[in-house]
Amino acid sequence: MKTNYKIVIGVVALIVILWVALGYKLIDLKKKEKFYGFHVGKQITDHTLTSQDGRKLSFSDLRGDIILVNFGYTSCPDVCPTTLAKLRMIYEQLGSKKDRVDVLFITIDPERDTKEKLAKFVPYFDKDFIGLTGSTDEIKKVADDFNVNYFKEAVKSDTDYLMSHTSSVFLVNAGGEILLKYPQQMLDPEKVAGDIEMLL
Amino acid sequence: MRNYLFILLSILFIFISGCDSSGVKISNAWVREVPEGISTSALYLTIKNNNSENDSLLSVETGIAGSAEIHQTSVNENGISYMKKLDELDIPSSETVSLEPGGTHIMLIGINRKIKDGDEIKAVLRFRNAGNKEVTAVVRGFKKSE
Repeated sequence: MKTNYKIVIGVVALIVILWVALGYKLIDLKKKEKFYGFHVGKQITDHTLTSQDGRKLSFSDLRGDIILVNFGYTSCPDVCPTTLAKLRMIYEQLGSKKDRVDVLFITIDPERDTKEKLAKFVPYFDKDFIGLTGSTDEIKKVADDFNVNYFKEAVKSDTDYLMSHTSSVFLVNAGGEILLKYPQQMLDPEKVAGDIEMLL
Repeated sequence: MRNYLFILLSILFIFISGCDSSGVKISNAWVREVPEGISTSALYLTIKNNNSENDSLLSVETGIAGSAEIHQTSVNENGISYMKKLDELDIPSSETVSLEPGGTHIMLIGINRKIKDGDEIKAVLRFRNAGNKEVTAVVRGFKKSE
């Protein structure tokens, strides 16, 4: 009789656990469906890079904020300025909520993009945007973490070349997880701002 | 009576002038403003070929950049944006080709002076058949560019 009692309790406990887990998963799936961006769901490593004003900045320093991350280079005439202009529009959409959102522009051309050059380029789009550079090794590690690819093209000399690169914008949530990805061509400021508002 | 005829002829002349659709027409030319110290930018414009024969844009010269190249931005299936230099850009007969952000553009390399919103920049476009066409492009700040 005692054994039967234990089995019943065990089965009930199992059902409760499964029910809670399934419910949680369904809520999670529903949340993912609600977002405009593509779900990524990857925890990032705490990288440290150098900002345009010479400060060392780690992702953990920004923990608690939403972070929008874009990889590019300052000699980029077309895609990077277009993306940064759209990031600025997202900022404008957010109004006062933008205080809880950081925008990072990480160079994939650290050989040419010094912090001085980033200081001329990045704040032009918004004074609060942060340009980041580092050693080629440091940049490679961050880019790998975001699954960002880049390589030189049309090389004419050591200083005259183009860069091909992943141009998506990534949304890192307050817990340091790369939650969403927006390919450059689907960077709709209103919709991205909508995703951010759901997370704030 | 002579006055009426004069007015009629004048109206006809204006109408015919307005309808002149021959040649290669360039419109909506603008250059992306860049902060001082940044030496690359892009020229965008629209080219309409009203001729009965195909044409090609061969080269571009401006007074503000060391060189100008025809480039095409594309995004591959992995989300990588890349630029390809074009030796020439086809402008088919009776078609309009638009050079816009995120697509085909004239890359300006080695900008030698500060360019700011509202500045006017002269550019000369060389076509295979239509020859040289001069155009004035207006510099647009990023808020007006997107």
